[in-house]
Amino acid sequence: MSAVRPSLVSTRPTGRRRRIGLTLWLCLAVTGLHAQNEKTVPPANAKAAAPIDFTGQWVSVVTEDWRWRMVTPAKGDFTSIPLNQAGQKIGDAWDPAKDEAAGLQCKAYAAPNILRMPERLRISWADDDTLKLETDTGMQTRMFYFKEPKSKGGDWQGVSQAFWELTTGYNFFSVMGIDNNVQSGRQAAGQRVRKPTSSLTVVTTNIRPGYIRKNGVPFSDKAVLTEYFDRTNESNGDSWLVVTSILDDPVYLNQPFVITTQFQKQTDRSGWNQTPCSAR
Amino acid sequence: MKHSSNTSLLNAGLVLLVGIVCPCYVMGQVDLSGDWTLLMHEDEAWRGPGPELGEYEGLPLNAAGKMRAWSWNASINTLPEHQCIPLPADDFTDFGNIRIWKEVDPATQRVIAWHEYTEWQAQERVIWMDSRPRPSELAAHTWQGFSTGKWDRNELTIQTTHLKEAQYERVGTYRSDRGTLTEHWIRHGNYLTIMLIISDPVYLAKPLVRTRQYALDPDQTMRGYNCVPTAEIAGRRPGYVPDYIPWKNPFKLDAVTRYKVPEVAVSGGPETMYPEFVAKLKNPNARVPEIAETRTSPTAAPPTSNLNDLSITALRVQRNVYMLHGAGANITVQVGDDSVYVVDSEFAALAPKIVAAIKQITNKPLRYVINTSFDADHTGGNAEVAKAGNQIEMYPFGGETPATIVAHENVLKRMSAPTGQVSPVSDSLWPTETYATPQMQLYNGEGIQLIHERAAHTDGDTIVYFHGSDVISSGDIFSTETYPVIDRKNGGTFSGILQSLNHIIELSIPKGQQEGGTYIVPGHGRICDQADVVNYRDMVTMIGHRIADLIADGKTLEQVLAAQPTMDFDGRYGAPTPNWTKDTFIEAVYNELKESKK
Repeated sequence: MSAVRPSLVSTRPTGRRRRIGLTLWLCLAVTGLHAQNEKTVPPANAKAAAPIDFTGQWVSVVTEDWRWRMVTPAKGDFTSIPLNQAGQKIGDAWDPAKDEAAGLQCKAYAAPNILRMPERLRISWADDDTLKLETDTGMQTRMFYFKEPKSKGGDWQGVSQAFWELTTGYNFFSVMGIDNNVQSGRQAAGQRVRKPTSSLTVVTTNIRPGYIRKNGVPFSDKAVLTEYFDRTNESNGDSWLVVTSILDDPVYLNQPFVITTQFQKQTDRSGWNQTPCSAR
Repeated sequence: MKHSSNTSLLNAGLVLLVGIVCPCYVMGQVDLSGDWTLLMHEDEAWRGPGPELGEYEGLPLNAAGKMRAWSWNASINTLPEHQCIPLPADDFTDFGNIRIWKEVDPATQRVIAWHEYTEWQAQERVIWMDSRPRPSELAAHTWQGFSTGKWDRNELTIQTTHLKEAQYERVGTYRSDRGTLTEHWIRHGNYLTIMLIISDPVYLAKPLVRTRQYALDPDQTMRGYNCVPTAEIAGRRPGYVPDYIPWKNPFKLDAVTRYKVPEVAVSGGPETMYPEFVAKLKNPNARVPEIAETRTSPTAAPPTSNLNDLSITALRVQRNVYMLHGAGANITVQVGDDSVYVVDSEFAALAPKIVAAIKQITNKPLRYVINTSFDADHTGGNAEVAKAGNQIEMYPFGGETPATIVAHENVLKRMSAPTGQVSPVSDSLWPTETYATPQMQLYNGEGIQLIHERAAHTDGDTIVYFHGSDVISSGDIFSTETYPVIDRKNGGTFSGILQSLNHIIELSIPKGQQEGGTYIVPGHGRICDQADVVNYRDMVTMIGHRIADLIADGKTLEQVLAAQPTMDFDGRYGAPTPNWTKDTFIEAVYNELKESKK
């Protein structure tokens, strides 16, 4: 008994240390694998880095603002829009005939309103770092540049800079440099590890002044449109594109105008019906 | 101290391990906490003052949904039993600022639930994140339902079931209690987008998809909300339900005249949601679809189960009362201080399983079996279930006497026969004690009131009110499965059904905001509260109005059947049973109303 007892006493703390050591070893081993995975595959371009696929044909499903989207609302109907007095004055002077005469039928098909049209979208990669969005209604094309934009804007769709939304990266262990630094030694402690969410962020500027609604509700050339593209996958097989857009316009809006528009994924390319802009 | 530091190190290592092995979980920790102000930059007119009466464009209503909406009269909101109905989960985001916070398991620090509170009507939702199972289909439904959540990267996807029937817009557009809600909560910086997908096999031809936006607003002040119902319009008769005859609603085209909404669109339907509909809007010859064109068929009845394979489901209703569900009528079990009372006994073949289910709840002796009517699915197990219990022996006559079987005397009359004639059922199933007074009282740790409802489902109906537990067992006067069965041959009447439903509403009282409080065990279907009975009463009343209207217009029974006056409720209550269909219901109502006009 006396020979056994010291052994038992000494074994318990050793066992705990072993468990701790084993746990940490496991952590570090997996960390190393994880870090190796991360460092070995830096995406070559935006297409390769895409955390989610937005490409394909989508159809708008108008369940909201129907009276203002499916038909052209009456002049002076600014319902829901935080329009200031300057904006209201311009809206009250809306004259579609004038727009037609000036060849400005596409004023309501500019970036801030184009996705509110009843329409179909086709989204595809124009190149590895440019996502293209085409509409059948108004036959507009938007280019989302993940690198240096090839356009300077000034047209209805402006210039759109795109990036995959990232997490904040303020994970305690990543900030400590633990999970990326332990084995690779390439990253310094304190570096955030920002990972892509499933969202695409698009910021559009330098848009030719146009309308937020077909009845002449204006936005100015100072407007900045920030859009978040998200995709859902439903248990019944449906998939939805959800676009939250925030329009800042210091000229005509009292506060950011925030709306979300949804599109249902089509399994084919049916229904594509190109129609030109209409001012009415 | 040494032990503590080792343990901390171990825990830190484990957390690290979990974080690395399952980065998706760590990534899922988008923080939604905070006070959020509602942005109404979409549908403001709908969410503020509300849409125009009869205006449903952009809503994927099916024919039943349209008919139901056309029946809706805003005056129904003046009824005390309607005044405190809050916005349900699928309308929660329409109005009012919200607060979101997380509930964390103190040991693991994992988020086990998200809570969402809206200041408008002071509703709180809980979204469970701990993978707990959904409640039984027979459990009570609530305005906010039962929600579970799951992260998919930065999207919190929420599934909600167990919703009470409710409007998602204040113009009579209803989502039934068979509807479900899927949500995606997506945070982008200081903005929160909530996408809602409402699915309903009863009133929607396609899912209704909507989005709502909030902005983070840490400075906002939440307000309380109190609702005390009161009679807003004096002099109304008890049970009054304001509604419109759907084919005579005078406000169907108000939005056409007031807002120039094209007539072809105003009644809604899935086609109005899609770009193709724009062409129809521009076509002056486009036709408004007639309601008869798109009628839905009633839900098919579920296949009859083999009783041998069937199991008995037991659910606690409240306090001392449980509900057993098998093949026939629901059984209510009340566990008192010393003994057990049961209401109804289903079929004889199920009796052993019923007795076993009761034994799972308690070992106390069974003393009373109360029958709410004489129907076979309420009384078939009387003998076997009673034999599983016994009466308290007051006299030394030897042997045990089975539990007492109590019912109104008309039940005994229906089950027995005059001397010399053959009774329809064995005397072993007959009540051993009857009452002929308006009510009878029993006591089993709480007051139990047996109330005779004259001429409702039959002439022998009893509702049983467990006062201490605050539970009412309604028998076949109320069902969540079918239209009320009016057994006219055995003294049942349509007017009696309505009176009894109104009586149950009068006896019951919600805990708050038209929910909880008194629970009702229906003859068939899930556990309910007053709001469910109100909903059912409204439906029965409205159908009565429609049939009366058709009679007033001189329609024959065949014409009334052809007019489908129950069409908007058939998807919910029209499933045929062996002895009762929507047509037999219409016929019973028609015959009674026709006779009463003579």
